[in-house]
Amino acid sequence: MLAMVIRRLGESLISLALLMTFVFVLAQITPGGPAYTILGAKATPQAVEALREELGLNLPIWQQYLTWWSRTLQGELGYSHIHQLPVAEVLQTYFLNTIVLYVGAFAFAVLISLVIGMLQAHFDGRWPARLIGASQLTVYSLPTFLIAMLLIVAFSVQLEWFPAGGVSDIREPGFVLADRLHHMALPFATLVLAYTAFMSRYFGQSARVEYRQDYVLTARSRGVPPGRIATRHVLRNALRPLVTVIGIALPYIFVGGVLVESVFDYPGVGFLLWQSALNQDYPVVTDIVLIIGLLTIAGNLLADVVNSIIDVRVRYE
Amino acid sequence: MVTVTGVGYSGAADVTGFLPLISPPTVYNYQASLLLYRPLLWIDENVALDFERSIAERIDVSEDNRIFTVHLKPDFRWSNGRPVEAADVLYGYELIEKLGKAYSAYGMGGIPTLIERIEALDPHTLQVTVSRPVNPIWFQMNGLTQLYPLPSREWKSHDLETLRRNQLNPDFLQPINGPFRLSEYKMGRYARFERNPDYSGHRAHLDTFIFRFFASGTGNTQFSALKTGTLDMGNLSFLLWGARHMLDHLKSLDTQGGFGYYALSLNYANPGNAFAKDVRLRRALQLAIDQQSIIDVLAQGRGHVAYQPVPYQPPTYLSASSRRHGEEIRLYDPEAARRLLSEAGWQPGPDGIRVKAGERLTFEVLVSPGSLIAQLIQSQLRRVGIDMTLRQLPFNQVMARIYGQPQSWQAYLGGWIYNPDFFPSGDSLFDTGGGNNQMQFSDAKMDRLIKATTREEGLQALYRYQDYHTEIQPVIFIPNTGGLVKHHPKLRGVRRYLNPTGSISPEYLWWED
Repeated sequence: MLAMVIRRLGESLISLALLMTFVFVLAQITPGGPAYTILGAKATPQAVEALREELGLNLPIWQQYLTWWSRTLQGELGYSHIHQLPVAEVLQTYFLNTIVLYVGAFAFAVLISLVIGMLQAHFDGRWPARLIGASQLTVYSLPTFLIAMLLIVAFSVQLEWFPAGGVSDIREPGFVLADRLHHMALPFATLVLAYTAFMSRYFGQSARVEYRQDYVLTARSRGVPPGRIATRHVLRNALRPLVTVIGIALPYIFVGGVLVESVFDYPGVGFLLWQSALNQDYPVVTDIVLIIGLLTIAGNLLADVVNSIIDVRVRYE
Repeated sequence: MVTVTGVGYSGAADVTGFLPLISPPTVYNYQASLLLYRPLLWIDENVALDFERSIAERIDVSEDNRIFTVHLKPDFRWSNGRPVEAADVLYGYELIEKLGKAYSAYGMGGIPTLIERIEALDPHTLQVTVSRPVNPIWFQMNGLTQLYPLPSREWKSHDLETLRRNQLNPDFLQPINGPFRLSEYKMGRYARFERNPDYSGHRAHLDTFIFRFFASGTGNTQFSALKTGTLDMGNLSFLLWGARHMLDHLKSLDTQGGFGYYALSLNYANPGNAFAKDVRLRRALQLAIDQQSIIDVLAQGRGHVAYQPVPYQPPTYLSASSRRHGEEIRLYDPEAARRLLSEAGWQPGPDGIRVKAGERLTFEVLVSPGSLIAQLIQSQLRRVGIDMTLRQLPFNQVMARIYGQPQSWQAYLGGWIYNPDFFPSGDSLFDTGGGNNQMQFSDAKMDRLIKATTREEGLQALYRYQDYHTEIQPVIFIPNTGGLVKHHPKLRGVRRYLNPTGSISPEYLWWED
């Protein structure tokens, strides 16, 4: 197991280094640059050139590349010229917002998906399973930002139960947990709906396959209660594909929510990456890609390790 | 009280710096920094000098129009009690010199290019000597307005890098001389300001003033925030005009938009744009654009047709003939446009697009993504036989094309807001070699007239410049549309808060109760 992890880690880090190089070069060769964003429409060619020199953007690409690697390997994430802050500080704020909302919603959605998927598999062929399937398809078909807007119209604009967006009531300084939760309710619900629709379908299919296996038939014939069959046998075996999907999806939940963040005015990493790419804020873009790359490696490895724990066949594979 | 940047002026965006001269020169940073640091000279809603709201109480100009003696108000103080002194203004000017050509407004209003000498005669008197006679209005409004007193005694030991790194730090941004101090800044979320009880100007009524930032630039989130009361004041996007009834509980205020112009600029340096050099073509383009319908469709009737670079509202700098011109002549006349095109030798081709000597009358214009105004203009020009294709690019890529490949682009749709060049003299915009003359327009008479606006005393030179501008049409004007501000019914002072140059005055806002 350890040898596998080390080997996979080595291969993944090489891929990550290549990816970073690609992203760095792509950012450099794209026309424009942060100097134009900073100086705006009144930028003169002289002002742009002077600012590029000040920011070190007029140095040869290879020199900027080596400086970037040297800095990154020392743990320095550089400076965002658009935000006028160290990249670490920018990312800290946005990543924290993302983790609180997305990881929480994802974890909650996983739990609900397990329950829904098991129910769907248990009632396979009967009307409850069909009802669940139709609901999944409906929600899965709706773009996430549309779900978001529908929730805002219903619960914020019409009923005025929840705020339409933001992180907290900015009129009151300081951290108030109830206020934060109140503001997170609609984006949380949006993400849970979207994630659940996808994962419960996937897991439900996997569980349905397991329910049709001989060992389940044997367990039933031996009088094992349905609940025990579900939790002690089917669940564990049906989990493996879902764990793989979760491992792969983990990094994408950090950046995939740009539309939801835009609708809910939620300062998350997805939106930050999009804006930074538009503004050519290279340090932020490359550092986000680096972090997502590391999360991808970690997610895949974690999925493999968990799978080997829950399925002994994988251990021997 | 919670609002957004750019109310009544532009779309909202985040603030990324609170330091004048140092922070990125966006209107949003400008508005935020004004709360903390007042400029030497204030420009009011009529785009004229307002000494009541300035730190300067008067300016004496020498007879040869070369020496400007600025008298500061002796009782204007920093928040730590120290008087605002001429040395503080000198310190701000030294920062401009240190920034050099990286200073975004380098050369505008003669700063620092025309400055021969700047010195403090005494703690409350600053004297600026320029290297040649200047039009006092031009120099005061475009040059001296760039001067900011900054806390010299407290910041003198800091280098530029330190100032940059702390431009968002509330603890560093002390002392202040504005009506509010920055108490909290949350990136991507808001900036909170608390009243400065020691402000020497009109004391603010509000205890707290908050700029809310929105992740999305669309009007939807701002609309929802206005509806639910999260925002006390904001802009109603005209794209949501159909839902305006949902904001009937709020009061409305029409605005004229920013003090500037919006135009289709043709690239005179592009060899493929030879048609641009024919004034009949340019006039035809102008006559083919139905500006009023653009105003009606995109801004629900709010805005003015434009025909020269000096804005119609406020009419402070409008020549008499420009006013008459706007009122008397038909600015939308597609028949006249067709006649001019035919006169110039461009005849309709089989597909309706005009042709001359085998060449189609077609050009590509760089626009920001999703530009509705560009699409409207495209369809209007097509009716007279001009094929304008749209190339949609993010802003900084447009700028990179314009500056990096100066002969490759054909046209660009963009605007100009007169800030800090409040006096709309046209220098750097339409003079040969001007720093912001990206289209490389060149006309000897225009150069002479623009030069005169910066040298001859008074407004006559400006009037001659704008009249000639109408005659030769260097750019094709698009209407500068207005806006609709929605605010809480108990919020007062909104009209005084707003300013077409973006110079907001939140100290005049108050709650009825």
